[in-house]
Amino acid sequence: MYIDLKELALREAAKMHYPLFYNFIIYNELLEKDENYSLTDFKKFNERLDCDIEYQQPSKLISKIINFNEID
Amino acid sequence: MISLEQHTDHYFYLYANCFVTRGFSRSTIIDVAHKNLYFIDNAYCDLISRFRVDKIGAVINSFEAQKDVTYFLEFLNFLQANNLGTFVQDITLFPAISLDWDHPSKVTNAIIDSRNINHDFEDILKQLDDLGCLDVQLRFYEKTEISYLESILELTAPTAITAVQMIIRYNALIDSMDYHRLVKKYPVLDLIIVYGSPENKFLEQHDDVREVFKKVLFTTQAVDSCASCGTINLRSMSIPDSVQGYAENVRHNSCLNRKVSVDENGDIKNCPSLPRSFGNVKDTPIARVLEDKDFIKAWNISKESITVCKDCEFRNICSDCRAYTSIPGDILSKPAKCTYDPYLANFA
Amino acid sequence: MEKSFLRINKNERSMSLQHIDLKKKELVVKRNGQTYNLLDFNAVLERRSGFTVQDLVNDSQVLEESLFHEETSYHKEHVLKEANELIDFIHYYIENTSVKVIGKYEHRKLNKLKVLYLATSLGLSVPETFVVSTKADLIRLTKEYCNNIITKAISDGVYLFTNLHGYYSYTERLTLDTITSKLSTSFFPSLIQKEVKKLYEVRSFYLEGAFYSMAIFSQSDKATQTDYRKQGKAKLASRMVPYQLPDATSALLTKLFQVLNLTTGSADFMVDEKGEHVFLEINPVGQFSMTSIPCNYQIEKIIAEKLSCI
Repeated sequence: MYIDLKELALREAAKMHYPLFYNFIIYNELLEKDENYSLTDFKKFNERLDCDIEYQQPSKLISKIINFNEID
Repeated sequence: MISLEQHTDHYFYLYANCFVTRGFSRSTIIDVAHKNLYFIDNAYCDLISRFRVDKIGAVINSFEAQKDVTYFLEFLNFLQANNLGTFVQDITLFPAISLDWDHPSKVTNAIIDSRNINHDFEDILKQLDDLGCLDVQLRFYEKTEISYLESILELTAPTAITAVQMIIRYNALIDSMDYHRLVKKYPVLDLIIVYGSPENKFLEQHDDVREVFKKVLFTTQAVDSCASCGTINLRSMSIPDSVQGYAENVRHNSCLNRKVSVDENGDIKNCPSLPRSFGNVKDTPIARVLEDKDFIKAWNISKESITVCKDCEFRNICSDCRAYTSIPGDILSKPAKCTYDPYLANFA
Repeated sequence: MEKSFLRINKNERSMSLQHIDLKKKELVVKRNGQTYNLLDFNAVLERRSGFTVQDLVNDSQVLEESLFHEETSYHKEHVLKEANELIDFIHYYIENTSVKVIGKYEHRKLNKLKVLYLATSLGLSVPETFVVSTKADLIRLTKEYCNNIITKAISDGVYLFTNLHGYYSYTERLTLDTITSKLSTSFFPSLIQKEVKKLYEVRSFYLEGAFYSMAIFSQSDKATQTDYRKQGKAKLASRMVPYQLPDATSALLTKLFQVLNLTTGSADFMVDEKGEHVFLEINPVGQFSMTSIPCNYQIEKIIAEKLSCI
């Protein structure tokens, strides 16, 4: 995914009051909230582990009952 | 182009997450960080093993023919061009990566098969969750209703299960939008595969969601029972996402490690296709089965102990199959449904 | 090995302090309808903040209203100071009554300049470091170091997410061009260092006397040359591999951790073309997973074992 980063412009008169690295702040627009999907949909709080867990793809093939060679 | 003179006093460091596997006819380099696979000649495999001992200058001096130096240079160029390694002054600062594997979960993945039987999914999923199970694959050998699938997915809500896959029989009465709705409603649902479909296709997504999730797949393949499992080809091999994943493949059985299966009769097994039952899920707790040494034994059958496979250059990225073996009854023989011949380096 | 645990995450779940009783040795909190005496726990791992002001101040909106005449912020600062004093004690009390402690609350922040000063005095190689506030000084340094100077934050860089935007600052190279065209004549005192021409970077996670180090090769992509975190457009991820610090560096770094009284933390180095290990900083709340996962060190398992072997 490509993220478009822009430079944050400091007002000329303001520059003398900021540390130098403030001249190089970059920013991007965060993705808009989607009515159908929101980031919170991809995680949930789990009581047993006492923390948020994220849904994710299995780390390995669970079974080989489907022959993917025959699909494409 | 690399100039060798400049590097005679250097070592060539093949990055520790690029793993070399020597096969009978050729070798592979698996770049786990970038998920790439390269084939190399076995002669180069020997050469790589010298990299940790000899500086470039010493390697060159050991060649008798000038053409060997040229090949060597070409090989180094190939490694560097693919970002598989770099020249370093002190090779001892770059140790090998440990291939020790462990996981906090007692069970990481499970298969539950169903045919005309209503398993007590609530109980089974609860037990799996208590064991730390992350990935669950549900395979149905009869037509199922969407509402039934939904009722099972609801049961995962209180669990820490992170992915559910469903493999179901094509049902012409189910509107494809119903699958779409199911996938959207349950983010835990990682994949639905509908076998026996009229055509092979991924379900089209209808609204402009940011990412197109290829989560619903229709295949014409016929599936009647767990006997359809065990297919081994290039598509059933995959380069793991992490060094841990690779280490698990090397040290353990890539299919059965930390797996529990419940077959269509409710029998708890390593794999539904294996004959031995360790008790029925109706009266045997899964946790008790895990205490059985015979059950755990299958987790540790690594490729090095399997005939033919131990000579295969794909062995460390292959997902293996211990249920259907080329010599029936010999659990240490090659998967019966694997068409690759490592001695000829081709697929039949 | 299975132990019960409680995880206190900032802003994840609301937690409230019920009471502290020094005589009865009670530090009771209520979370999700359940009460816990935090002094009953005998091992603690601290990373960043556990208890926060939000856990103590129920309605921070009230503090936005004025209270005293002719003064709008005194009450707010005063109550926050009171809260921080209490939070400080809560962590101190838990640490002191635990048998095993990894990471301490008081060590969650280190002063980068203090650490650089200490590192130099112990004999570690560090980048030449200046704090300047005029363009004239910058130009002088640029010339002296042939355009090879960088600037970064003395404390933390900018890392901010609003509802609509994300803002970030990184280590930046300062060229004569940038200085003359972009910067003002004088500015807030800023940290300047001579840029280290790196072959690779090193992260060393330190835990109770042992180092778990990782080399990061990112040179092949221009965007990551000054700061490897700037990976936006890089095609290939940086190469992260296990690393063994040279004995001399490892001995000096151990000394530095000891002098700072730290039992854990993550140190950053740049290794230049001559093989010199140039020390940059210690992150006392450094993430170990970013080292542990690529190098398969299983640090999370090591920590779990240390916490439960008591």
